[in-house]
Amino acid sequence: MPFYGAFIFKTVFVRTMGKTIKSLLIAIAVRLQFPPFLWLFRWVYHLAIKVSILSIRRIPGVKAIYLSGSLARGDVIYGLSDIDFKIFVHGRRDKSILEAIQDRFALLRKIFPMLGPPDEKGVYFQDDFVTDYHRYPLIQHLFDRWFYQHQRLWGEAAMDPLPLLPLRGVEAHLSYLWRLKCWLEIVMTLNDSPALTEIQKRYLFYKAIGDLSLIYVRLQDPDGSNGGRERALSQMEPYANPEERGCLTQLLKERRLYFRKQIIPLEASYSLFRNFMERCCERLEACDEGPSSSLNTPSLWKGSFQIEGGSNEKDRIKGLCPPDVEILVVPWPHLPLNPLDCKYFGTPTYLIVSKRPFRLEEINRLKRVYRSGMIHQATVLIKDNPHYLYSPFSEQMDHWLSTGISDELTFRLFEAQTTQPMPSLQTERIKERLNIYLSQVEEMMGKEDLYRIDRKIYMQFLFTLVRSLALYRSLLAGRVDFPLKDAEEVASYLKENTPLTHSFIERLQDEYLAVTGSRRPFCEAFFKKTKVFAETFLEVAKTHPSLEGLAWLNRMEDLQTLSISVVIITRSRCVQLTRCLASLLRLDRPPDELIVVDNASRDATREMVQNYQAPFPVRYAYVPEVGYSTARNAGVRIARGEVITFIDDDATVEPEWLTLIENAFLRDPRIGMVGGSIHNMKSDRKDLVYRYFDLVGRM
Amino acid sequence: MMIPVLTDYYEPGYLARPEYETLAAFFPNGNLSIRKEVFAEIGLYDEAFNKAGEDADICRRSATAGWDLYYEQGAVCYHEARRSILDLVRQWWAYGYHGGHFFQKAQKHRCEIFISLEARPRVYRYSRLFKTGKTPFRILLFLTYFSLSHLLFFLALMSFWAGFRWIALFLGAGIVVSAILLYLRSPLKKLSLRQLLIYETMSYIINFSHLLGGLVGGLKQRMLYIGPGL
Repeated sequence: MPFYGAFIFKTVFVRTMGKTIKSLLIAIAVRLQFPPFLWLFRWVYHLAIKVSILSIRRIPGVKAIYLSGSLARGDVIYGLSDIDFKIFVHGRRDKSILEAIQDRFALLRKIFPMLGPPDEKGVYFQDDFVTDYHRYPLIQHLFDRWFYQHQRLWGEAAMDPLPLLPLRGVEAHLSYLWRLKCWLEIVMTLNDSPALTEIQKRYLFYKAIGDLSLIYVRLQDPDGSNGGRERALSQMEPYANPEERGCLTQLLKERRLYFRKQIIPLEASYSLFRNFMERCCERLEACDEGPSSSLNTPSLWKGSFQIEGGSNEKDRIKGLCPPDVEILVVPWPHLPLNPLDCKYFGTPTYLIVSKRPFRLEEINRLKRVYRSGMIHQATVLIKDNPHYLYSPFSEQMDHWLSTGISDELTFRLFEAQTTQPMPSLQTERIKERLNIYLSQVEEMMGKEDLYRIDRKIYMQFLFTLVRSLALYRSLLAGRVDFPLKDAEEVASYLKENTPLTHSFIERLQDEYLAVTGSRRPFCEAFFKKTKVFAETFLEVAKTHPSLEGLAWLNRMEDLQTLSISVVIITRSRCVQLTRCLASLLRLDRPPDELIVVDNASRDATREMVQNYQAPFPVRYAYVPEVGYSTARNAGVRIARGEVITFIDDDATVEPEWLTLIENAFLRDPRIGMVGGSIHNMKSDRKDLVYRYFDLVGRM
Repeated sequence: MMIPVLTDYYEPGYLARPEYETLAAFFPNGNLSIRKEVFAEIGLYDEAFNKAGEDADICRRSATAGWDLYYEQGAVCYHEARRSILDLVRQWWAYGYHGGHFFQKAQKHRCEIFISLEARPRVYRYSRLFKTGKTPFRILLFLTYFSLSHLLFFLALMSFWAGFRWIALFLGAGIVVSAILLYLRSPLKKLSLRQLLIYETMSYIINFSHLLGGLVGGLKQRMLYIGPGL
């Protein structure tokens, strides 16, 4: 047996699972913060960086190699430190050099899996860089010496002769402020995020402290040994107070303790950190220098993008590597990107929720930016974005929904009660929410310093406006599946009562920008218009409550409801189906519609469904081709709810079933699927199969 | 020799998070709810899965696209047991038959062998399977106790026939001893003899139909596929 064991181990285990075991070991080592492993990996990481410098400087044409971040012994921690290479190459863009560099890195990454992905992004061809420098704020910021520390490791000085534009005082100030505020938000959400593991929470938290200390060091260093410092910043001393300085010192100490695996209670640190950050923000805000002339102000909207086919897909260890690309999306297309707001660390995607619909042009602009020399393959997958109004997916979806029924499929559709209005409860909630908004707008209009209004409420309100415009447009284009009569009425109503044109909404956007960006005196007329619009929508909600329209309104208002369609696939199982439908009647939360897809039944299923009396709309579809997925697709195509729930025809459900499912979806917009538990139904059967299932259920 | 992934399958709460990029969790179709936006992003059900496996496929696809899968333990539905043994066999045949296609869509390496001596191997723990990339001919073997012991039994028969009695005896003893060891470790120990008989008979039928279905379906997909079984 030992012989066989060794043989199997060699052939099977080592060959096929060696890689996984290796990465697993690394993951465990990093997660446990076990000192010997940590020292080992720190050493290996050092070695990896040095080897990569050695191998890359041999490529002809490479001018200089820079490193962002610190190579100091204590700072290099595998998995936790951000080290980016920046490689300068002579002349114009040359594919062969780029490929050579990438090949080296790919080779090295086979030996050292910890070498990160940013090498492809960090190759700069000097001529291109100089010519394009003013056009791409992304590059401009990456090379901002006043924020990041770049260490030249090898080569001639390439950075100094470049025409780098320094961050102007106000911009630097704003970016510090923004960074602090952003961290504050993140750390506040850490407290009640159920999805993050403890280790991820800690990691983010200590990352925040590290960032804070970086800013602190910059501000404390008037001589500019870190690369310079603005006069405007030197005049304010947010950390001059010894109390605050002590606070920061303690936080940093905790951070050090954390890395030595002496973990301290987290709650106390959270509150300490929060207090400190809030005070910092106040101070920074207090020494505000007036409106910024540039549009580089940090935006409030965030989005994260994953570039498909990124380089780190292969050796990414779960949960430890950053996403390929993670950027902030600036709300309006004419604003540039602000890459300082990117966070290239562990698991940031989790914290960023963007509820704003992306536009096609915006996505294209992003692609253009990334193609400009950072990344070569730019398939942009949109995550975190539950609204597809402007995204290319919406059209695809609409196409499926519109053509699916008539052309692709040859099933007949029978609708029993589709025109029934929704339960009045939801309408009431929508009205409530709209009324709250109206009162908030009225409050805002009463205030004098309008630029200090509550940004969050205002943003919500603006989202309402923009999305309702989208609704209006799709109504006119006939894309929304309103009942026809309703659609005409609503469209004419909106046309008469609101000045909704494209130029109108663009002006809204500009004015909003004026408020948030440069803080010009606020136009009261704008608020008046928005109020009129909200009132119109209130009217619409009162007069036209229908399924699809309410689904749209739900989305607009972030109401805590979802419309759910229950889809049942059945085939010649009339008796069981009757039992299933009877159990649906007992639900606490009735479904918004029920679709029975009949997959070529040969019994009285159709009559049974027609005779079925229910307080919700019931629809029946007949699919002649036999096949589970075909029938399911048919059900998906005709379903109108935001959530589609499948259930087998031979199953019954508990009364609270749908409530729990809805609540689960409402936890997070990124939960795409919810599954429940399936138990064995009790019966009097004595046969072998039943006994077996019963046994397994009890085991 | 298992490769556990850092999160567990069927743990209440979040299952696949965006950062756990390729970890595919799985919900059976009997009690499954999907946002419509998921369909808009990843497309509808794959119609090649005619009889079974379409749920596993869509779960894998959506998890890869970055959607979270959430297991709500309280949302209970009661499912009727299969009417007859024939139904059960048909079902597990279909699981095996479409399993080849399912893994083919996601398999990365040309040849993969997974050895698991668990009573119920959980395929979805093996994250290495769920990576994209295609190669023309494939071998994918889940060597569970069922398939391994059959293989060893076959070897023992052959060696007995060829005259190597001692090797045959050795292999046979290996099968028996490992069966006893496995039994002692598994929760089956708690069952009575009658219950054990029922369990073993039925799981043998299920595993056998799954294996056969997997072989046939795999051949159709130009791959040698031995499914994970029950």
